Order: sequence, then structure tokens, then C-alpha cells
Amino acid sequence: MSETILRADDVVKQFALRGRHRGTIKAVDGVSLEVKAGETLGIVGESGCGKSTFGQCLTRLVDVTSGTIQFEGTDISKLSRRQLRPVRSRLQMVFQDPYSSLNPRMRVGDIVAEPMRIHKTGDRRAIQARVADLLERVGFDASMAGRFPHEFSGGQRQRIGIARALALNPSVLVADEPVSALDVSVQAQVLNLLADLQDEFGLTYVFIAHDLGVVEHVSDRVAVMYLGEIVELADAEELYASPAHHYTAALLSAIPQLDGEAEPERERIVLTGDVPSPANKPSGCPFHPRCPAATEICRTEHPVLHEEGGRAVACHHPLPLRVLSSAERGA
Amino acid sequence: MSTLQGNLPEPGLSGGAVDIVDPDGGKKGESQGRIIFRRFMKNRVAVIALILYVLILVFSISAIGLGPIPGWWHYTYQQLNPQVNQGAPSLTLWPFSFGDHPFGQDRIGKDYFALTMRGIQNSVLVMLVIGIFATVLGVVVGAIAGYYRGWVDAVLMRVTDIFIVIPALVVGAIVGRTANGLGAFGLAALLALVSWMVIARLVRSEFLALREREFVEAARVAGASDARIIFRHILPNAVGVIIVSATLLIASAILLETAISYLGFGIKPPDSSLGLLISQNQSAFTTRPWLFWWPAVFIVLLALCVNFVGDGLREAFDPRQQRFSLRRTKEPEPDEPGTDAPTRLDVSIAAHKVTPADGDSGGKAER
Repeated sequence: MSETILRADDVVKQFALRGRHRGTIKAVDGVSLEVKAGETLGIVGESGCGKSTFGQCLTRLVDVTSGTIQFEGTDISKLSRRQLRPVRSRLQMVFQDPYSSLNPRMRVGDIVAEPMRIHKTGDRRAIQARVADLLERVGFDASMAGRFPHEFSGGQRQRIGIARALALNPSVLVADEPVSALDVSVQAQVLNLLADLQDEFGLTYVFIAHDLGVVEHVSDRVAVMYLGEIVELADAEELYASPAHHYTAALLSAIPQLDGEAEPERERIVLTGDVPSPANKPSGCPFHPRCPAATEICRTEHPVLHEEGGRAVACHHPLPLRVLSSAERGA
Repeated sequence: MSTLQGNLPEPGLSGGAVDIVDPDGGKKGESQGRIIFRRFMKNRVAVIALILYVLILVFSISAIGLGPIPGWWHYTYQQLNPQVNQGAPSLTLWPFSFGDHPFGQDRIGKDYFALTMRGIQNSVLVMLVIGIFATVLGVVVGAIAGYYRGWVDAVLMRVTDIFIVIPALVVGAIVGRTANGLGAFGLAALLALVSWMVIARLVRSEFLALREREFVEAARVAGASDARIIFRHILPNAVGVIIVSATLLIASAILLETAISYLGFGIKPPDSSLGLLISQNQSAFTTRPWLFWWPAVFIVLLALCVNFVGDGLREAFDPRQQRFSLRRTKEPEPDEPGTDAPTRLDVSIAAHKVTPADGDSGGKAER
């Protein structure tokens, strides 16, 4: 892999709670990770684990409470809106809900042209030509520019959203659950399109999802989040074949398997209890109240994410790693 | 990334937009504005009301003229004329003829047709000025409060609350007294100052909802300025609410003007307004009732028209409202064989636009 293009360092995002339940929620609690140019980094976790908020921090849709985000060598976590503008063109986002991410009052052509008009990348004719080009690239006829979003289906709208994100020639796309609102067949279309675009433009993806199957399919590396923290980060194949964190193992065991699938049988690990509220996080390891292997140290000491051989895990009692056979690597 | 196996359609091959079947027969590339216009035009009552409203206005302007525009009617609303037939209306419908004083004459011999036409002009002027001023003010306040939230919102909404408690009639009365009668325009501007609050609150709530939509976030990620987000992304999506509430505000404005002029604090003679005419002639109700009825008829007509237009607009903008019919099909005859069949209810509901639920639960797919 090549050099780091996006690096988050101890990113914290707190939300203040007002009213009766006064306090703060640490939606993202000290997340550090690196995204390398050209790779796809998957971020998975349950609803409410902070993965979307972290994505919004990366694109500075929300201000980070503390920590730094380095993008192409500059710290963007404290830039003002004006200073952020040049960064915006390099760091774009694909949204979750294709029904809400396109302005219903604007024509598709205007939606795709909007980022270019904001950044004044060229005169009208140049922008028009680029819009036609982008629409064709995501599989539409250029004549669709005159249509309105309500004339398109969910998957088509998502492709329009992707065209808009590509308009400024970004290097990194943060995709926040880009296919979770789509039908399975349409999901595959959009995922294939994203893969093609990555090959063609050398894009880097941060792919946020709760669907483990999708993430396994698209990601080079996968980060697993729990209660605002990264609990495990590893190459996708290794992580799926041999999880080190008990939470990852439980998540993976919950993937439904088809009969006769070539994968090894997994034992279903059923977690007890609910995800604790991020407003009132457990002491020590955030996962200890639900962890089957929790001991005294887990209750008192917060495990740090430590890296070893390209894999990082935050656990006092990590699961033994299974060495992948060469056949499995090739799969 | 590898490519998914299987015979799934290639992204490049399914380029065309699906021809979504619109219950109103939508055409390709048609903007929402045009769809709404078409829906409005289908509402016969609203269209007739709009035409009638415009006709009344054009009729009143053409009859006695307005400013430099000359009218075709041979009396002005200020001119004193000798009483003819004790001021009774000379209008006859069959055979149709205006006669000399179609709406009669008031106590001092002024032509009541001219007075009523002048009253219509003033009342419509007041309606429109209130409508435009109050809408602009309300939209600005509501948009700023809803978009910026926080302390800006708190301050603006408290100011709005204060204006809500001020009764419009009292303000009109006090200012009308001290200023010794405002012109129609001044009165309208003043009334606008005390009637923008409903729109401000509605627009604020629209902005609060719309600013969280993903297309606003997308604009923000693209680097759009606040002004661009407000004017290009949020405001166009709030237009429905604004137009509808402005129309309904206009409908209530004519009644407000009428009330204030009736109380003698609005438009003063020799100028005329519909409310003023009623107030001047209320004592003549039993002896010469036409002096009361003519302005009353036009107040009711104008207010009804605007209300119908407002209803039509609301339906056009929000097809989810009132578009289902509950129709009972033929009830079984009591002596028909097989009466044990239950009464059938046919419920037909016009296509609801279903927006998918937000959040993680939105259409999770099993893999």
C-alpha cells in the first residue's frame, strides 16, 4: 500500500445533552486510524456506535471536539469554513438515503453541477460538458440532466449522488452507508459502480456500513467500532477469517449463512444485554459487561488499541489468531 | 475490490429513468412547480375562484379608473349628485341595464356603485400589501431563526411571541386615532406589522426540518455558503408552506381591514373601503338595505375567493391531504337473496407518496 492520505488522530466528538438528562455523549471517543491512498477502509458497527458521526467528522460536517484529522498532509480539524473550501473538492461524501440526499426542486443536471458552480471550476459550457460526462460515467444518458429526482428510483438516485460526489475530482470519498437503503440487486449495481470508479480514478474510500457482508466484499481493511471506539482493525480477509476481538467474533457469527456455503461453520455467539448508553459508558473496557471472556482487569483498565503485524485490537484477552492458509488468502 | 459474481445488471446498461406512473400523469422532465400548477388547474372551484377574484378587481379598476387610468363609469366616488328615486338602485337584470345609479345613492347623493368599486380597490390593495409585507417579514424572521437556531432563534421567537400578544385591532385603533386616519397603504403596512407571526413560525419549523435533510449536508460538503443553502436548497422546498399560508393570511387580511375601517380607525371618508361603507350605512339597514348589502356581498365574495384559492393551493402542494374518497357501493336490498353478505365498503385512496424511513432501519438488506 502507498502513503497515508487521511489520518485521524484521537478524534473525539461530544454532544451536549440538555434538559433533564444533562451531560455529554461521546459519540466518537478517541478514534485513530489511517487511510492509505487507493484503498477501501470499511467501518462497521451497530447502530449508534458512532461510525456515521466519525464519517461526518472526517468530512468536517460536524466540528470535532478534540483530536486532529490530517488530509493530504494538512490538519483540517480546525480549519474555518472558508479555509475548508479547497479541501472540500478533494474530500467528498456519498450519503445514505438517496431519497433525501437530492434536492427535489433541482434538476439532476443542476444537482451534479452544484459543486462545480460553488468552486467555479469553469464556464457554463465546460460545466455542462462535465455533467454530461459524469452522468454517462455512472450509467445515465446525458439527456437525463433535465429530469428531476422524483423521476428516478433509489439506486438511480444513489448513482446521481455518486456523480455529484465525483464532480470535483476528489481523492477520497467517504461513503456513509451508501447501499443500506437499497434493494439487494441494486446494492450490487452501486457497489460495482463504486469499484469501477475506484479503478478508473484511483479513488480512496472510507466505507461506513452496518452490513458486514457488504463491507467484507468491498473493503481492503476493516475497522470495527463499538461505543465510539475502534476495537479492532485488520485486513478484511484476516478479520473475517479470524477475529481477535470478542465483539468482532460475535458480530461475524451473526452473519446469516447459506446452506452449503464453502465457509467454515461458525458457532453463533449470542451476546447478552444491550449496548450501553454512550452517555454512561462502562468503566474499563467498554465491551466488558457483554463480553464472554471478561475478567477483573477488563472492568478496571481500559485496553488500548495496539498493533501487531498489521492487525490492531483493543482487548486484554484477544482470541488466538488462526494463521491463514495460502488457499484462504487467495480466495 | 473484486466484482460481484452473478447475472446482475451492469450499471451501465440500465441508464434510463424508470417511467414512474404519476397519478396525475406526470411528464418527463417536468418540474415540481409545473406538476403543482397542473394539480391546481384541476381543482375547478379554486380556478373559478381565482378567475372571479381577478374579474372583480379588473371590473372595479376599469369602472372608476385608478390613478391615471380613466374609467368608463360616468360618476366618481367623490361627486355629489341629486337624489334620484330616493337613492334606490337602478340595476335591473332582465332586461339587463345599469341605469343611472345601479347600486343606488347614499344619503348625500354619492353614486354607490362608484363608492363600492373604490372600496373594492382599497380592500384589495390592503389585502395584497398585507400579504406581501407580512410574508416577506415572516419568511425572513422564520428563515433566520430556523437556519441558525441557538440564541438567534431564541431571541427572534421571543420577539414573535411579543407580537402575537399584541391585538391587531388595538394597534390599528391607536395609530389610526393619532395619525388621524391612514391611507390604505399606510393602514396595510401597519397591519402587516402585526400579522407576520404565523408565517414566521411556520417557516421556522420548515427550516428546522429541512436543514437536517441530506441534500443540505451534501451542499455543505460541497462548500456552499449559508446564503446559497438558504436560497437554493431550503427556501425552494419551503415555498409550498409559504404560498399557502400567505394566501390564507390574505383572506384574513380583508376581514381585518374591514373590521378596522368599520370601527372608524382605518380608511376615512371621502375615500372609501368596503368596511367603511358598511359602518357608515349601518343605520340605514332597515330603510335602505342595499347600502349595506352591496359592500357586504363583495367582502364575502373576495374573502371566499381567496380562501378557495388558498385551499386549492394547499391541495396542489400537498397531495397527501384530502385526496381519498370513501365511497359506499350499492347496499344490498333487504329482500334480496343472500342478505347475509356484509355491506361492502370500497375505499380508494389516492397514491400516497411514501418516503422511506430515515436511519439505519431504512431497507436493510439481508445478505
